[in-house]
Amino acid sequence: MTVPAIEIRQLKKRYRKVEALRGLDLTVEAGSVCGFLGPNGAGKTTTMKILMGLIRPTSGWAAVNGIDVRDRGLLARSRIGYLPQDPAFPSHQTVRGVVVTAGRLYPGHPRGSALRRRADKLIDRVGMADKAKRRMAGLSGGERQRIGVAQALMGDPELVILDEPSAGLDPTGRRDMLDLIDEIRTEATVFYSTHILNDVERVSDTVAMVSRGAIVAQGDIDEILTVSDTDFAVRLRGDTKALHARLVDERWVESISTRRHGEIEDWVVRLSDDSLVERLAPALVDGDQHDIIEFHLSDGRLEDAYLALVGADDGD
Amino acid sequence: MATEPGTLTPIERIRPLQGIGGLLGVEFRIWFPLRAAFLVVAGLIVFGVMYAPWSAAPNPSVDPGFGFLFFGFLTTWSAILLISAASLSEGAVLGEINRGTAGWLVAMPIRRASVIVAKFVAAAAAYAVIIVAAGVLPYPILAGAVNRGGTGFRAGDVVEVTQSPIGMWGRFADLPDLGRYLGMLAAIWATVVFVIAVMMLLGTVLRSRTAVFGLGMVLVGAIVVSAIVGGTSVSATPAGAVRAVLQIAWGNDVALLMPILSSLLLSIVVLGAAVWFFDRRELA
Repeated sequence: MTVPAIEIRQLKKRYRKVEALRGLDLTVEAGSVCGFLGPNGAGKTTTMKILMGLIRPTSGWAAVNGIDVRDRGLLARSRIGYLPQDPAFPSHQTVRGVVVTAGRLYPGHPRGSALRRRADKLIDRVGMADKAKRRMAGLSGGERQRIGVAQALMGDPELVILDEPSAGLDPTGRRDMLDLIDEIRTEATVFYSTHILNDVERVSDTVAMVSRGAIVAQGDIDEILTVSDTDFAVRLRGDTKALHARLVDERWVESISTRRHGEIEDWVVRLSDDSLVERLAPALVDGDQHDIIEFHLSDGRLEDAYLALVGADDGD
Repeated sequence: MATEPGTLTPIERIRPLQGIGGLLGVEFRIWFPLRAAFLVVAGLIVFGVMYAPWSAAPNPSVDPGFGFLFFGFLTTWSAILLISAASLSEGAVLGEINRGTAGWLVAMPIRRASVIVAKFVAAAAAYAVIIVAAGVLPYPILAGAVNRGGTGFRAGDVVEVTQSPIGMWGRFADLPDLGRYLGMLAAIWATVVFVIAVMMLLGTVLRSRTAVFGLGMVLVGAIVVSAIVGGTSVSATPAGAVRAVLQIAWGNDVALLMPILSSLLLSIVVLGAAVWFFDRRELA
């Protein structure tokens, strides 16, 4: 059995009165691309920062490639490439200088021209060859993200951790970033955080959904997307409060996850039995303060799964 | 990943200052050549403007206070060095933490101690170069002026430093020999190094750059005031190093070694505290 790329057990982190992580358990298998999905403030960045030794957990345990990140953090980090959220690099350095510097900080790094060649190769790979001599201060956010990926690969990592790699990118930049993740998967385990569901569906093998500091679901994308015959997707418009209050009181309704986009509200209603849809349908149309736009069995979209598991949680 | 197998060799042992080589490269690029050159030029300008050789024309009646050219240069230059050390080190740690670049470095496979030590070593080395470059050049010029009888005073003469009504008086000192002069520069450097170490510590403990800068300036002020009024009680402190420099420039014979060593020792202790705090600081 291979050692997991990431193994986290009962990880807790408290910032004064805020509990950022509440006993998070996570396993990322070696060789996979794992999307770490959750709303803002759910605990994604906190988890990654603990893995990188930037912050200390209040309790719990985390290991990378079987190496405890707390006791032997430096050794663990020597096998990780990391792109922080909103990456910051020395503004006085050139693009090439930053990537070469990152390479120099890895133990056993190549020297001299071999190091520079490696940096140039990675800069070219992220599509920044024409800007290799530009100072970091003059780069856009998207360009910094690309350089962030290049420097993350300088240490020849076994695991690449990317914190919101496609956040703030334009559609082309986002597509390029996903293509890059797709390329890296052949060489390293990729663990990346996002709140963009389409990104996860496109490049991930596995997904871990986090909400309020705890994992609410994890597994293969296919498993997560398995159609449940007790989950029903409902799209509504208007005042839904009365309907919601009425349904949650029904014993045959297990849960209702909601998410609002402007005037539209998406629900995933989980019933205790699939036959109970005969009760749900008339209950939904009862009332004149809302309109039902869509009503169907949840079709296994990640969005529905996410909604069912995370709901309208906007973080802490 | 295996894009270029064999390009990295596995870690056999983790050194106490793992990563210091790469970090020193980053830090030296911050100090050299521009920042160091700027301070060297600033020092030479101070000397040139205030104590230029042409001012040392053999006409003592023009400016009796000129007997203190040597004293004046060293006090002004020391003050500039101390203030610049506090100003330029103010953001060295906290600035990087706030900008996020410290997080980038610390996420690398390096010891956190290496970050602090690299910053300290680079700044200390830069100031060594600055002090030697800007401090040694005036020596032959001053020596030339004295040997020509340019000041018109002999060692031990009592001269007026400032005009009435302040009316400070003091003895004119001969220029010390080059070895002692270098010792004086070393004492100034040791004090600067102490200020840098304290700024590093403040950067690891405090959350506000304004507070770090403010406390740094208070420290510089305290060192200068203590050097002037502290007497022998401050001998084994950085203020004692400054005091020793001023005393020698004033013509008194005082020991340099003790204040230099104690300043460097204190700097190491303060730096150790900075490493300890930085090691525990969360880079959220």
